[in-house]
Amino acid sequence: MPNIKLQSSDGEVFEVDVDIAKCSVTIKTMLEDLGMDEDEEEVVPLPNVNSAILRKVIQWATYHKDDPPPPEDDENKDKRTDDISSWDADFLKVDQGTLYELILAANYLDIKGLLEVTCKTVANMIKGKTPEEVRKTFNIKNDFSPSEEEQVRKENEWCEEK
Amino acid sequence: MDKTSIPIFTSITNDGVPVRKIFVSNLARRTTFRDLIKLFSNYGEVESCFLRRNPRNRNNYAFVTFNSLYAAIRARYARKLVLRSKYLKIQAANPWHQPRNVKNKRKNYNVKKHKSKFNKMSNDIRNRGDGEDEISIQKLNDDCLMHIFCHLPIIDKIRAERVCKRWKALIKKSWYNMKRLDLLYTMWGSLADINGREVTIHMIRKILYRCGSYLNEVDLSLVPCYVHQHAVTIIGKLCRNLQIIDITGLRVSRSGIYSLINNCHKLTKLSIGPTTYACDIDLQKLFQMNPKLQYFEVYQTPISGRCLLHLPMNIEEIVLNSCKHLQEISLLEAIMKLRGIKALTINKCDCITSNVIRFIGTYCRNLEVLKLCYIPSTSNFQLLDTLHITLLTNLKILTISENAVITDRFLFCLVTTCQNLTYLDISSCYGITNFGMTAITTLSELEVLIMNNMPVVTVVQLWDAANLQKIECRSSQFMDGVIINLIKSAPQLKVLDLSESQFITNTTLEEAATITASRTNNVILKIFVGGTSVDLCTFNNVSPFLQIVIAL
Repeated sequence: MPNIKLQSSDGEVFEVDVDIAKCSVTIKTMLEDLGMDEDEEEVVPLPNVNSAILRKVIQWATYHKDDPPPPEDDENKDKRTDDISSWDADFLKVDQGTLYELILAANYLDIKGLLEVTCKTVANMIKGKTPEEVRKTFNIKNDFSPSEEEQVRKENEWCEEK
Repeated sequence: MDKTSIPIFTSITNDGVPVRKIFVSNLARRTTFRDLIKLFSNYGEVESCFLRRNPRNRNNYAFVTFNSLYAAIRARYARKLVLRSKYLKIQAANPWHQPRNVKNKRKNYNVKKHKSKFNKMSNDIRNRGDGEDEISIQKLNDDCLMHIFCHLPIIDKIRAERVCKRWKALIKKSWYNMKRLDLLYTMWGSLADINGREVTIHMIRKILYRCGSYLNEVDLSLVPCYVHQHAVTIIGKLCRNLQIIDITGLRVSRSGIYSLINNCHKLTKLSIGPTTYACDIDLQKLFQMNPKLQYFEVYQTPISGRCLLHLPMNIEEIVLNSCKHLQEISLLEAIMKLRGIKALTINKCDCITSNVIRFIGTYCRNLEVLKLCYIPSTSNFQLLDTLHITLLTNLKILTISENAVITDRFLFCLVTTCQNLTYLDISSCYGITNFGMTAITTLSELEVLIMNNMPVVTVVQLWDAANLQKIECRSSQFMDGVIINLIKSAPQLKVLDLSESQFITNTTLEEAATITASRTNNVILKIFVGGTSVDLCTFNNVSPFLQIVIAL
């Protein structure tokens, strides 16, 4: 199986099986667009991903290399967020910073499965919380003025528990 | 050429000049200089930009030079870059176009030296959100945040609008991704309980104001009592792009049907439940407004059937379920007119007479799917009438469960004409005996065979079951030997449902394990054994291709 070298933003080079690297649509199109010479030792720089994150992404892709390709149609996307496999759940037991880096990397590299599962994980963290709890969990500044906040609260009153 | 140092997307040319200049083509005619600068500044500082406009042959192109090599890399691998609704084609400019200035040549593709510069850049991106805190979720770009919001149930999504301004704006935008609405827990989340009992019409209205125009499908087949008929009126008004609507769970009034007639003209699938009035005439109008309709279903709807005559000619599937007021004469006329239909279901309707069956057999020769259940046993049936079904030589799927009029003779006629059958359901047809079952064995294309609840059938022998994938025989009288022979002769069998079959013992499982263990096609057989005489405590034969499920 031919290998490919991926270089993270901080210069570390990872050698990965081409088939595994191709779960990233970005890398796949890159290779297809440019054609790959099997003999040449080539390095693909990934300027948006650092080595710690790239290592995790490769770990994820290696575990999921035999998964069936995700269905194409976004329209009937299932809203379930409780179907995260136990391996993925363990894999994503990381600090919030790493989780966001993984989402950004999955988005940049266009790895649908990883993006799905990481976004689901964050969605699960938001679920069932009040706005104040969400701000606390995610360290978000409330930038509404008191009057604006009151207005939004009133608009959405109907979905609050009474 | 030095092999090791050349990256795959040639950040430097053969002469060692860093690629900072890109060539952009497939530009829209109206593209301006300012457009380009604005777009490419997203990837880094643009040093210069050259735009060539050829009004005559429309081959506009541009050269964009970045200050840094990394900006150029980012721009070259930006996916699906769109400018003035055209996908841009981006390549590295030819080597002789590349600027050779000292500043960049000195750097000459050395990652270590670029590192500090890049890190600074990515920090800039990070600080866009809540500056002071490194691990805030706000450093995610809009795209990623919207992805997350798409996974939130409706109630949580609306509540999150209150978190901050950016979230509010993005959540508002993220509704475009919502294509389907139902009232189940998975869609609504924490406030709604399992049956969605607390979702009210008020809430549905609020949600539809946000996403109604994006929806393709509304499924109100399971509806809590808090939601009443006016829901359909609101859906019609707010969801003009609907293609699929199922309102079988609602009692729909005239205003609801009229709302659909006036607003929804793109329907392809329509399912209607018990309306408050006989709505034949209004349905006729609805059909006229929806010429693309392919699927029409009624459930307990008090129609006479006159409306069926006005269904668009390209209708493919009709489902008539529990319609007590359906009249034989209307149905006969409709069958004669809609001969092109591919699928027909008539279930629990008193109007299935021998005439109806004769007409189906005579006119609907394109039928691939036919379901006729609960043919009333009081009607004056002759064997010959049911034999009309066997004229439908294109049938692939046939369900004739719960029918006392089906006999062995029918099965023998069926297998001589309908050799393409892949699915056959003869559950609870008490007229069928062991003799009739021998007929089924000649259906070589058969993939699914359903024969639940057949008290007189004790033997099935299949000798040509190469395609068989699923057998359901709940509450059957089969002994172990019969089932073992079935498993032996069906190498593709995936599902075998023996639930409630009292004579099935561990012998079946032992043999199933032995037989499947030698399967070479990697097909896994799943056996359902709930309610049988199987005792799993004493069963310990293992096969990689056997799964045992206890479920009722």
